Amino acid sequence: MNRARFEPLLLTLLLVLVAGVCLVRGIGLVREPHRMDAHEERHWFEWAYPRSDAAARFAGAAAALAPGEAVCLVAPRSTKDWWTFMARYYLPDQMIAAARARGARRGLPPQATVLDVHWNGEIQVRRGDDGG
Amino acid sequence: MGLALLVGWSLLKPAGREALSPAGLGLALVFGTTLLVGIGFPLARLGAPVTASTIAGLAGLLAAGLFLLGRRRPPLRLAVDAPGDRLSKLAGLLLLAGLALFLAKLRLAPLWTWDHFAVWGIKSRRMIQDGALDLGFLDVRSFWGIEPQYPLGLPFAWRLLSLGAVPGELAFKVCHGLFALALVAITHHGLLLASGSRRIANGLAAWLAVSPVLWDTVGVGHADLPLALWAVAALVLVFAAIAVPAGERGKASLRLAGLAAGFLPWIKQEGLVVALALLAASALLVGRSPRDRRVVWQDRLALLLPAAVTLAASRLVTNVPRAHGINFFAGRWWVRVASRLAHPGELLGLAAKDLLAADWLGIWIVFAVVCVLTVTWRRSRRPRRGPAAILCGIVAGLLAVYVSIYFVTVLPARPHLEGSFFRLLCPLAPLALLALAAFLGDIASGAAQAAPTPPAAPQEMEGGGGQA
Repeated sequence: MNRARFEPLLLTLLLVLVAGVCLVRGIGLVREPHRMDAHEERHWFEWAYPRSDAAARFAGAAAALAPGEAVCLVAPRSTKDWWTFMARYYLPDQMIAAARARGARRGLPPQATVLDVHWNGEIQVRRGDDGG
Repeated sequence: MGLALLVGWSLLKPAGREALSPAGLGLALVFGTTLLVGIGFPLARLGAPVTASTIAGLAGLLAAGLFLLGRRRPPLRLAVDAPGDRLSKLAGLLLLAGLALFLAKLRLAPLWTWDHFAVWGIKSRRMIQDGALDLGFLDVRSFWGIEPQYPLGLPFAWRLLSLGAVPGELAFKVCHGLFALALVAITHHGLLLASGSRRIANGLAAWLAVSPVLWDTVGVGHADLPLALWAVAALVLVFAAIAVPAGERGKASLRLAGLAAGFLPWIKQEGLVVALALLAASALLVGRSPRDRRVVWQDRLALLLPAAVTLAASRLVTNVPRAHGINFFAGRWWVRVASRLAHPGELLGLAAKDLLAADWLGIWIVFAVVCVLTVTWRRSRRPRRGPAAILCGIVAGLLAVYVSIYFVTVLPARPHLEGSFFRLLCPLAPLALLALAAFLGDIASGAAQAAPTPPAAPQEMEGGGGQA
């Protein structure tokens, strides 16, 4: 087997493939810059990332919280777990002491600092006896 | 990042222009990060503060110490004499285009996915409290989805590379982007060493640059790309060691290779299996190189000693034992294996579907062909004994190990495979490309040996240089 015979042909085929992929992806990035179409992206992105404004929402809430403060989270029932994980991620200096679905029977301590997540993603910080 | 490069550069001491070569910078990043994490994490567990000033101090001390202690150590040589031609220049341009598209996508992509938020990124953001390492959150019940049994080397690395600050979107993206560029640069160097041909190296590196290893940004902020980077760094340094005559320079490369392989379990749990496979392959590669028997064992020792120390340290300091992590072998695993082996088609079919997915652009199909040719090609028996056979063996072996886990797993097997196997292939893809390059190098070498008169140049294609 002599590499000189087949290497240029195979390499040219490979380069045509790479060039085609680059062309299609370049056009795709220009037309739809935020389209996530790779294999794992197709499987997981929409499922894992329903909100693009989470970072900004939590940054706003963090400004109203003290470092090390324990907070309780209240969120819509259908997205409570998602908001809880996001709160742990985006508020590393605070402790998420409890998470409740809105309208849950188990209440929160009246003195608790509450992160109240509304249906539209707006986050309100409530303190003291009006908590829970 | 700059401090990690400084520490790595002090360790490697790449000579002259090679210090600023992409592979030189990539290796400096790998070994700077390895040393900073490998020394910084145990110190932090002993109570040392983790702040910008202590991180800078540690990096400064390490760089100065390595520089002074290593004055008599031979510098790392990265030059490979493999002249280019028009086809190699075209491949090089496509490689740059692929990397540019990757960086553009990385900039545009929003901050990733569930495993980043819930498993990897969150640990990095939470592990330092008031300037000290605090892993208490891993014991909190509400954090149980965080996979506390996963190694903490990479989350700690992100934190160190952010100078102790809470890493945000920019820090994660910069780390991911630089790790990806380092991966391509070091792989390219390995392809050059393995094939002896610049156009093959450029072409295969361009293939890697457009592969899901980089393009699939769901892996951003996860550990699969760093695992690939450290694995490739280890293997390429073994290639570099056996490409030079036996001596102190080769031993220095092998020590670094052992260090990089030993760091793999600091990154991911399966890093241990990958490290052991790479070390076995490296020991075989050293044995097949033209060295005296006594020198072979000295070189193997140079490889395995740092690897053993780093592997042992990974068990002591990175895995924080927690009872509530997922153990795939939990319960009566042999019963699960028996029942799944009774109908293996479903799991094997799903694994094959991932390997044959169009997203891979044919990498695994070509790898399979290379494996078959390596085993069956009889005109010259050299490929059956050369680097290609060894690399095909470890990649195929690791694929088999990964697939076998889905027969064992305590989780529902089908969703477990569908949710992870494609991503697990990413660290193996650069190794598969190195196997392909080694196969082409073996053919060139075999053809050169079979030629009736010695050729004027060492390589028939391009007068290329180092044959691994």
